[in-house]
Amino acid sequence: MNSENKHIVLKAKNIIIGYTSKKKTVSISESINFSINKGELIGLVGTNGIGKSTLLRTLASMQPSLKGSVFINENDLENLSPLELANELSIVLTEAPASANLSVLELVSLGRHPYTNWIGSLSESDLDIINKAIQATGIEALKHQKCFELSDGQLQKVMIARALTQDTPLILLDEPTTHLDLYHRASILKLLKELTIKSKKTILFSTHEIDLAIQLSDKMIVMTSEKVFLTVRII
Amino acid sequence: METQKSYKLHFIILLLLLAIAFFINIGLGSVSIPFNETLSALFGGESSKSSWEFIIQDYRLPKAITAILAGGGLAVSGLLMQTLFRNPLAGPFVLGLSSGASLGVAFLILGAGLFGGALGGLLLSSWSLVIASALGSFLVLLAVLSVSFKVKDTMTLLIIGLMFGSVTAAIVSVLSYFSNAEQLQQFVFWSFGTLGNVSWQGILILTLCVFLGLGLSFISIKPLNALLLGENYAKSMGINIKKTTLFIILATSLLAGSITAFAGPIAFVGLAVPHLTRQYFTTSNHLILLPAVLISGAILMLVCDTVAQLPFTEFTLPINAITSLIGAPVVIWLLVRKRKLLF
Repeated sequence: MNSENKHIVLKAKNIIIGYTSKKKTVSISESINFSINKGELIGLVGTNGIGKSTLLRTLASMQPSLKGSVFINENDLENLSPLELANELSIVLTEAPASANLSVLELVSLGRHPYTNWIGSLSESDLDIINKAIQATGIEALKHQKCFELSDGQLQKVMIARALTQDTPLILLDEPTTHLDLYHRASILKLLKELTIKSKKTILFSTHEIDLAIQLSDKMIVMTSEKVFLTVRII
Repeated sequence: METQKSYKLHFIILLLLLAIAFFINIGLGSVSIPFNETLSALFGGESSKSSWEFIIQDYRLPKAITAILAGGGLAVSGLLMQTLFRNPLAGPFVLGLSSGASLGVAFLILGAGLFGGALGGLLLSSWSLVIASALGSFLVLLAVLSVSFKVKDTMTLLIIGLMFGSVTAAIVSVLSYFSNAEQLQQFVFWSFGTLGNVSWQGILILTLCVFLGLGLSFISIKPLNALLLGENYAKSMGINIKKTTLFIILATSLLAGSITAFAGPIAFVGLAVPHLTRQYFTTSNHLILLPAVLISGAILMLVCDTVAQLPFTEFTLPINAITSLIGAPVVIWLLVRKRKLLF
């Protein structure tokens, strides 16, 4: 990484993640601190149930942190409206789209939502961005298929294309390589790597694919039951 | 949302079908009226018999308009429910909305006796029927929704909706037990469903409610599309979930509540029409689906009403029975053919 583009995109300051219910508060980590720079590919690893998804959900404002604050482009997450956040951060979750009847093109174009008018009409530049995202993920051939006709790997690429269409500086992915064979795992991670290099996106993804993640990531966040720490690649 | 192709031709065909269904519906009835006489009565010309003019203008025309409003409105509310609950089986009927409305009306009709003559008569005006019915359906939907915030599983939610339906049905039974034959008959006739009893003044009220509901649905088109990806994705794209949910619920209860008040509980239109429409319009985009479902619902209701009218006989079958007779086999046919109901 050059020192000149060390612009901090995502910063976690003393956050504690966990769940609150009426009866009790369950914190599942000690305070977490890290900052991620622009154009970095970050792998998030840790054993099952350690809180990778919870951390991602907290960073994406889908659940509140118990303590501390998250900064996205130097804005406190708490002060961002849903629409402002949608301009900064897009997500790819493990859950499948609720409607399996969506066509690939429809699904990908949904990513333009934060930018379209009240009825959601797409301008020429919107269509252009949609096409570019479809090309970047290599799903041109699937364009007119319905989601229920896709394989897991294809669907994963479609969901990534949708996140690209949302055109945010930061993309969070929750286990994008689960259920995929080695070829597709490698191709998805390679795609993510390309995106950080070519379009200067910052990408944080959780994975169990430690081998591949070590090879491709710029940095890794390792979650253990004692500590969460950011490791830097040493070449 | 970018769609594969333009659906202009589809809409032209649907509108043509609507016009044909409309004229057949008006042309057929217990009294046989020649078609050219029907047209002239309809467009303000002179008919050879003044009774024909009266039948067309004051009975068949309001009935056809009610059918269009009821069919379209119920179908749209079904579409809204299916997207909101992300469940292909959702509809105003399945989630207990109609039973909520019937509870409201039962309290009004069967409870009116408790208040005695003058007040009872006042309570039974057409406005109070609408209010009671809309209130009933709104309360049930609110109950289903408050549970939906706690229960994430949509299947559980459907079962809870059915349970609410059972509870309201039980309360209606208790009310029926304590009411006299006259009130009971009035309520039973309301529950059969009828499109022919709505006056022009009633149509005005119904139109107002339906258009309000449709207006709310149309401004929710964009969030509805986002909800197709699920609540988390919708939120991540800047959609205000609470506001959207509120709008959709208001729209559904306005549509289903007012229609049920005037035309009685009409089953299956809300569930079946969105699925039928999806067979023809192969898109999930609500910008296209919403008007398509609206027109298709109106067509289906006009057809059902034409059948229920039993042309050239003096009998009229309950519309609720006809929609179920046509709707249920359609849903079964869809399930058998596709093995899976998608939304």
